Amino acid sequence: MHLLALGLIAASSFAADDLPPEAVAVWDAMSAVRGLEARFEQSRSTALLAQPLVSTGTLRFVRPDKLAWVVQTPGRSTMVVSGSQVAMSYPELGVYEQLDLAGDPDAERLVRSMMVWLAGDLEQVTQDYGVAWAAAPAGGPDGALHLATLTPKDSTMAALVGSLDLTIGGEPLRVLAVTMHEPDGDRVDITMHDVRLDPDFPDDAFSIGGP
Amino acid sequence: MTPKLRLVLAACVLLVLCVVASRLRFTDDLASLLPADGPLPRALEHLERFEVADTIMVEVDGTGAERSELLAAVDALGERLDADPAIQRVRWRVRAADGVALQQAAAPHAVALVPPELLADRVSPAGIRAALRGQLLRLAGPGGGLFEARFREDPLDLGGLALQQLRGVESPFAVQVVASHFLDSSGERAVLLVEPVAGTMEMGPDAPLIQQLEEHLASCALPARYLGGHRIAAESARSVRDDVQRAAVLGLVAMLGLFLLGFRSLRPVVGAAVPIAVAVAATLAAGAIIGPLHGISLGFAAALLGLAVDYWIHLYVAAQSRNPEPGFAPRLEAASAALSEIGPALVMGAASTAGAFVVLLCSRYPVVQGLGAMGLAAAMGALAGTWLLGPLVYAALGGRRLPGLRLSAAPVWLRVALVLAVLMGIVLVGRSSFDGDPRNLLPPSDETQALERELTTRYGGFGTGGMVVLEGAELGAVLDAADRAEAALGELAGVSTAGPSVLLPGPAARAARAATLPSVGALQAEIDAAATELGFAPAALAGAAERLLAAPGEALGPQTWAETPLAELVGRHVQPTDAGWSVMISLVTDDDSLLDPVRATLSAAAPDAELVVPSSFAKDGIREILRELTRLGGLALAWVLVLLGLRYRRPRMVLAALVPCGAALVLAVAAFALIGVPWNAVSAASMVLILGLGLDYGVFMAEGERRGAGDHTGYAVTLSALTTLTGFGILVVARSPALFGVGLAVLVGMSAAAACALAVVPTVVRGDPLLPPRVGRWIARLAWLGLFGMGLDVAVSQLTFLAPLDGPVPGHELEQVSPLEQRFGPHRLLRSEGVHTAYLEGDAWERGYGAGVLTAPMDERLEQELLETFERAVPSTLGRFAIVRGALLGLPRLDSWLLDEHRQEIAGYVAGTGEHRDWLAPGYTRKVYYHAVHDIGQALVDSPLVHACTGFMAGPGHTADGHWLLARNFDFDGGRRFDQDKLISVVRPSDGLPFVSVSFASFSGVLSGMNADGLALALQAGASSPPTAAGTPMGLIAREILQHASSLDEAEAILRQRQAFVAENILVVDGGAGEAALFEVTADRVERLPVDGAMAVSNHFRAEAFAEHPVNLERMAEGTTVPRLARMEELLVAHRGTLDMPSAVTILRDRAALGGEPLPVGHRHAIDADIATHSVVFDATTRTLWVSRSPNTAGGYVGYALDDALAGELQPVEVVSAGEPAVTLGVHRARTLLREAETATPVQAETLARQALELMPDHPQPLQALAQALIDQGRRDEAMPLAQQALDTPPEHGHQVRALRAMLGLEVAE
Repeated sequence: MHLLALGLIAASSFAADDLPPEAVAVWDAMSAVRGLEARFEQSRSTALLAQPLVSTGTLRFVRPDKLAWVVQTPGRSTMVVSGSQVAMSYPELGVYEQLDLAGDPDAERLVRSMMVWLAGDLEQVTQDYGVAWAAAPAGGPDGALHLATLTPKDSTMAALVGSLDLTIGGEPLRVLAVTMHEPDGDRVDITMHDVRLDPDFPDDAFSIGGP
Repeated sequence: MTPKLRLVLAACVLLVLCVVASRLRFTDDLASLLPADGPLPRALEHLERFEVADTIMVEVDGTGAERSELLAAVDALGERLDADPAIQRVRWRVRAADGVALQQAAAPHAVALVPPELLADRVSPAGIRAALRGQLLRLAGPGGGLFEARFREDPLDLGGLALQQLRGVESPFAVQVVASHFLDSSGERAVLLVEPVAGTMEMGPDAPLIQQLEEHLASCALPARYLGGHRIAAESARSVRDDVQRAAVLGLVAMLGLFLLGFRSLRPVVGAAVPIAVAVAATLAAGAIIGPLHGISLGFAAALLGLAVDYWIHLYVAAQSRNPEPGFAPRLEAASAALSEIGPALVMGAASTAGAFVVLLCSRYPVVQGLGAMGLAAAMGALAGTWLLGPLVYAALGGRRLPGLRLSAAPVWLRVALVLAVLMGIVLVGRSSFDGDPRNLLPPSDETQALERELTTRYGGFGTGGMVVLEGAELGAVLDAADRAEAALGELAGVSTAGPSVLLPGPAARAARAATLPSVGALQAEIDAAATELGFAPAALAGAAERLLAAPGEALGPQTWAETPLAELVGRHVQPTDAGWSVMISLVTDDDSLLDPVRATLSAAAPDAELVVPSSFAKDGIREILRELTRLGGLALAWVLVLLGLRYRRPRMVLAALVPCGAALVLAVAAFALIGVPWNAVSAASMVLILGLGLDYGVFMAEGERRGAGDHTGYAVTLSALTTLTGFGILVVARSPALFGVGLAVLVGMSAAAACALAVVPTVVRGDPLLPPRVGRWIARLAWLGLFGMGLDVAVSQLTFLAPLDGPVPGHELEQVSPLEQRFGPHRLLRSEGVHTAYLEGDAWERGYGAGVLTAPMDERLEQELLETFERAVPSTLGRFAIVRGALLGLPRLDSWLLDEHRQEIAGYVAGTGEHRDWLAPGYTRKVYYHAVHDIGQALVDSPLVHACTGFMAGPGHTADGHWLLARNFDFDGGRRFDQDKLISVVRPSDGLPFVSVSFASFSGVLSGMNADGLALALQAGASSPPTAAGTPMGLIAREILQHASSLDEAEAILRQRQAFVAENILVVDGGAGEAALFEVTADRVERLPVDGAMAVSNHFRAEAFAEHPVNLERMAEGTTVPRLARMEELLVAHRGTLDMPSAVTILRDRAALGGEPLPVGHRHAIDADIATHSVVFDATTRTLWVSRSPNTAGGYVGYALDDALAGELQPVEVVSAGEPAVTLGVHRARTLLREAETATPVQAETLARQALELMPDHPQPLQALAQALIDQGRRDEAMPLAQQALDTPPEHGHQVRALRAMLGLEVAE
């Protein structure tokens, strides 16, 4: 079930847009970060719900392919990506699933796309997305400098994600907030705070163990 | 006949034969050996269709390695195997795409795939809210928006529920999926499932698949092993090849030596090749005509080529005995004259052999027909080759002068020895046994067997124990039948099934599930209400119920799973056929005796189902073929008798010709019985060779003696026999049981045939007395003694015969009301939750008759097992006979001690079941004495066949709720069947109190029971002297108490009124009055010991009057009663104030020693020693009971309310979960191995004891057996530490202590 969902954020590539040198410099600066840990707050506005659904948790990322996304409220859930292995767990539902992406290039590419905006890999970004570059609008997070709007080039991905607004800023430069616009009008806002760059993670931070 | 004519004729014959033989075709299809119709070809067809046992399990051992190392090694190995063209498929990890495909396939059919109880729960108001809450969690989780579309489609996540069901069937083995790989429970070993392109039948000794697989495994970064049918098949082929090579080298050397010694020349060897060539050509030509030919048929026929050698030898010896001058012409003249001389014998020998094989052509089995045709051709070919070419070959080769031996005048002692040997052989023939299990013909190596045990323990059942196949034109109807069969079989304890019901439930099951769903409107209303409550937008889930309950676009069927990893599994269970569909349910059981209940269950649930058990169908098939051979053998014998009669017209001559053949068959069979090796299909087939050659020896010797040429005929017979022995008898050096059997049969049979031909036939032909007069007189005396013994037995049987009471035959019919329930009038028998429950009512005769009708199959199984246990305990037939007759004489007129009611019930039972096993004693007599088995056996407590029970009574102050409990284990080593077929009898007698009794079929007595007034009772053996006079069997006294007593005082009054003949502990709890007592009873005294709160009881007495009795003291010192009692008392203290039904079960399952010190599993000092045939807890206050389910205490307990049961509700009201059945079954297996070790050779005993020790680690019994086996092999130094360990453990019984001390050279106290 979850893989199907992951599959829907697939991306493919066509010719990359030309970016201003400033944008290239910003992406270069972001790519110097090897890993990060941050708390996040996510607000999902959807026609399904009477009110936005707010969730909070912790995000850990290490280049190139380790991600731990831990939701703590309103209920605990975890997604860990380590190499070709993906584990998703919903303890309150008694659900724990593991998947192996090896030998399945489509699924692997889909999961990678979830990390593309964290990795600061411009080449990868421009391969999968059209990128529009602008100054950050007022009223955004503190220290916001730039706004990069990513539009999926792949139709399958585009059917799910209309566009991604990445608010970039801070010192050193990093993604401060993400807004995902979905084709049906739904919207997801993710802001990150308490960001630690290149921290020392515990050995089991990205372990794919049992439930 | 001129030489030229001989050559021309021979060339023509050979040419024709070769032309025909050139059309020979071979097949590896086993079905070609069987009739086109009947169960066996069908079974083969099913096996082939469902590709059973073609999966290889590979285990990679990452013990001590990092998880990442293990996974990397498995991935690398998996990729290599996957790339190998010899491998069809490898599964070692779960891929993302697999999950997606599975979900897409399952989602539209979720309602059909989810069991009704889960479905009902999910669509309940609480279930809907829980599901929506879960969906909110997913929406809030990582990538939560990606679930929205699916959420709108399936807000209750029925698809997720369906996937949970499917996960359970993805792997046939007990593995966990960790990091997307299949790992064992420790997570240290990984498993790969490999399906080769080639089947197991294609595995030769050097099968490339095996070599490649082993190379792949050797290149793995971590140790890797494999197991499966392919490995076993290749090992078997290697074993045969090695045996044949070894025997061939030895045989060749021996044959050359034999020819050099016997003929003083190797030229006869060259000469033998010519008639052999003709015989081979004839055999192959016959094969081509009847073809295509299977290797098995050819193997049988190859043995008959020995005829050609024999005929040549006879010609050669006869010609050479004429001492011809050198040169072709004189030698040809001598050979022609010799041919004329032995011609009649040659023709008679060939005709009788050929005639016997002609009869086989009448068989309905192609394999037997083939044997007949090729045997006929071999005999005719041998005759033609010898007749046409023999003289020419002899003339061309010549030979050297033969030694002058007088072989027709054998010494008297040899005749006497042979006659005595045959007489003894006739006695031994009855003791021979036949092992029809083809797995035992070529057993896997010790290493493979050990690996199989290890992997089976770790991953569960490997392969299948059998399969149930259902066929029909409509898939839906077949799936419905499969559902019914699987559900019914699921009720059988000890049998597990895997069928298509999870993946493809039948239309009936799907309809039943759909019926549990609410209407669209009601469901939508609940969904809307829950959605609003949980913060969803108004009308966000509009139309959800309609979508959930809508029928899927495509019906659920095999095509549903075509693109998923389950496609292969579906293919293993469902296959299209020409006539429709075939569905297979695989069975796994470790107990072949459960196949009868399986058949009975199937016949009720799915009458058209076919049960295919590879081991038993192969056994049955081989037996059937042998039975056919036996039948046809009778015809062949008749033909031979007619032929011999026509030729000789004198009975003495006919007898003379048959003597070698008969003696050979008898002594060959007896040899197997003597060394304790069972016959198998291959060794039995060697009888064909013995029969054919034995007949020839007799005919040749009789003919030779008749024409006065006994010496050189004897010489030829001797050489013929020796060539056969060196060719086939040499196989006795083989290691595989199949070839060893051939070697032994031929070695003994042909030696006996030759010896009889030389020593007996001439005497019979001459009409001389066979034996000296003194020996004859002794044999006559022995015959008279045997007759006297038989007469005495008839007299004893008459003296001890008990006349059964008579009664009316009820007018009911046995009715199968459901797959698991039978009725006979008001009487019922239900199997539910793995336990049989009977409801009986009416007067004694009616109850007995009803029970007999309903439980006859169980009774037969129990009696069979009891007798087998008796046979193991007393191996001597004479000994068992003496014990049975001794018991009948020692306890005469036992039924005079029984109440009329009990006599009527037993007589009714016998009438209901029908008579069987009359040889032992008539039915009623037998059943009456069986009721005293408990009494006789308990005098031998702590020995096999007897009881060693432990129990307790506890009341207010000790129990949690102040109820009175009685709990006990009934330990009885009479056989596992008494556990598997335990019977809970709910009895409503026309006279007395209704009650429930837990025992087994055919037993009218009570061992554990409770009546409607809340009086609960249990018997536990006491310590007494062996019975010297008859009395009332204790079980029937207990029955009287349960049926007629409502208080302890009434129970005591009955005990004092009846006279028992052995000692007994009787635990009685009165739940109504709230009191309990232990009655210690002997033949002349009753002691009542009141229970003060709680009391533990084992198997000795504690009353002052009995405590110092020598037998009681000996029991305490020698047996296990004291440690069991001490541990029980300790546990009662530990549970004081908290005792209830669950904690009572915990106590009954206790395996520890005093102080909680661990004991080896199966140790008889424990309360639970894995021998309880029933374990029961009574709550006498609430009149409820829990009864154990097989095996022993480990299969869980089923609970009943007595009042409900008496009202006809025989279904258990609750089920307590299983304990550790794998451990218990391991103990059973270990005990079987130890029994086998007792009669095995020291080397075999060592292997068996080591296997037992693996299953019962540190247990003194296998330790002692292993030590003894090592001592017997002269390895005392290795044995001593084991003996010391066994002594320290400690041993179970006093006699074992003494044996171990003696083994260690320590002082042994008496």
